[in-house]
Amino acid sequence: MKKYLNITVSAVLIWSCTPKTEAFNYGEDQCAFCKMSIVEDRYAAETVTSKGKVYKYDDISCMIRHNRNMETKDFAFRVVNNFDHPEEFLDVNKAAFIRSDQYASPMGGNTAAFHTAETEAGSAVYTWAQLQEIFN
Amino acid sequence: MNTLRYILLFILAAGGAIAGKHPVKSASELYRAIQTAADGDTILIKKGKYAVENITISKRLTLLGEGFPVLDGQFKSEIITVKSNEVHIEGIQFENVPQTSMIDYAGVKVIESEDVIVRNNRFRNCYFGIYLSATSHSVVTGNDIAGTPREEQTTGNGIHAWKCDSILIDNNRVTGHRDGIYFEFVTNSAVKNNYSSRNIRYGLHFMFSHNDWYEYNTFDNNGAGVAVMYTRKVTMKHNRFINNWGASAYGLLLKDISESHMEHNLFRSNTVGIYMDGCSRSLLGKNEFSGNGIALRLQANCDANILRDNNFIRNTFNMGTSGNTTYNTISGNYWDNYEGYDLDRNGIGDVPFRPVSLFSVLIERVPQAMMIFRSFTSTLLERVEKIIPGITPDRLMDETPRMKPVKPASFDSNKTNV
Repeated sequence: MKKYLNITVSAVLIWSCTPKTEAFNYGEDQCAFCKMSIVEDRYAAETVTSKGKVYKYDDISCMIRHNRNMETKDFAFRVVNNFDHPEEFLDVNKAAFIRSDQYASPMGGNTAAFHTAETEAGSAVYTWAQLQEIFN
Repeated sequence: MNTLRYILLFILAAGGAIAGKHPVKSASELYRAIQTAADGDTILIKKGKYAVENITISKRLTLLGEGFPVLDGQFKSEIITVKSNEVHIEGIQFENVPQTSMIDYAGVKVIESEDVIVRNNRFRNCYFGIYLSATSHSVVTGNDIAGTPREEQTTGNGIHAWKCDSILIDNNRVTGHRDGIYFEFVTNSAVKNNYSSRNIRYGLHFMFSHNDWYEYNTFDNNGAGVAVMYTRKVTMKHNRFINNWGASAYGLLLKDISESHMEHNLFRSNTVGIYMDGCSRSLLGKNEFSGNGIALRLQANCDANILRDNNFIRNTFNMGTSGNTTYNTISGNYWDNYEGYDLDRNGIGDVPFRPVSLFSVLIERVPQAMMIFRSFTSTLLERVEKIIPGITPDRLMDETPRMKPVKPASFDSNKTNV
């Protein structure tokens, strides 16, 4: 009996430590970097560390600035909301980012994430690696 | 001399004749009047309901409503877009502006203009109420703005100013929007006598807006209180920050603020009265903190701030901090749970007061510890900690605590002068 109990307890512990993304609670969640409450779903982003801690951001620029002192191995997931379908998470390494004044994001990062993106007038398409250099 | 006088008179009379009046009773008349009117004319909108769409004003006009005519945008587009200097809009009710993802439609939007006045209007169900973009020397006063957000994240700001200079936002009421009043890149401007309540996010939101001041405003029961961020030289006086309860709510969030003055304000019934993060060289004086969860949260990255002559009354915790913050000056405040004595009767307590209690440090590290707050054990620990400080920041203290509170400030702009 005790053995089973141990197994159950350790299973629960392991389960609770598995990093996973978390849905946004708009109007309630707070940006980990700029402390503003997150209300605009189209620009929200999220970092989940390998220890399972979830950091939420209201702007992609906040995410990059907050993450700059962490290392790649610290991240389990880094996801951004798809601008066209905000309920969908995109992996930062697979998403295409557009920067333009058209995208007035909460902290002035003015960056939106898409599945695939084409260059329009007055905007430019960036990869995640290129964005690092802009905001860092 | 007389000739000159007659010439002057003639010019004045001619001017009066040129400034024509155009009374309108229907939407089509309104469109025509705007098209045919000359610079300086007045369009008199009679009482009634007008179904309109996207009116652009590109001359110096006065739009005057009689008995609050209703301009109904029918959820199709923006109602009025001002693209001219010296436009005056008064006494009109704006209704039903749609929410869009890319364009920020507003009841009244002013673009790249000067000397515009928006006075005594009503805004109902507008995505953005009044939107000032790259505008200067303009006045927004006496407006009543109420939004009815269908969803939390899909409402705009009541009064929104972006890249403006020298504007006055005075005596407006804003409710039910995302941010009541929003300033981004706005300089040398004033926000006075406004009442901002029940907005989804902030009652007032400042970002990158230097040299502004706000006074005699009331921010009541907003989603997360008021946020002033990334700004230098802000003056905040005689404002009330009240009833901001919630896990991420503050009376006032100060993030990266420097060289600012916050005086004679009232912080009552907030989860956190003031949350200071990355602030420096600012003065907090003669404010009253009463009935808050934590009156003041001073993050360890704040330095060279002065906290002087404030009243701390009936707060669960006076101060919280994330480290041993000793780079700020705390002096001459009144703390209602100060238990020292004043043998020389100079009004100043003889022993220093440490505003960060053991428990506020403890819940910082282990929030669940709140469960044993106010238990016998916690009181005992608190007593021991007071005598032999071990966990609490020992150098964070008020060496000259007051025995009696400072006289409270007035919040009526008619009675006092700053």
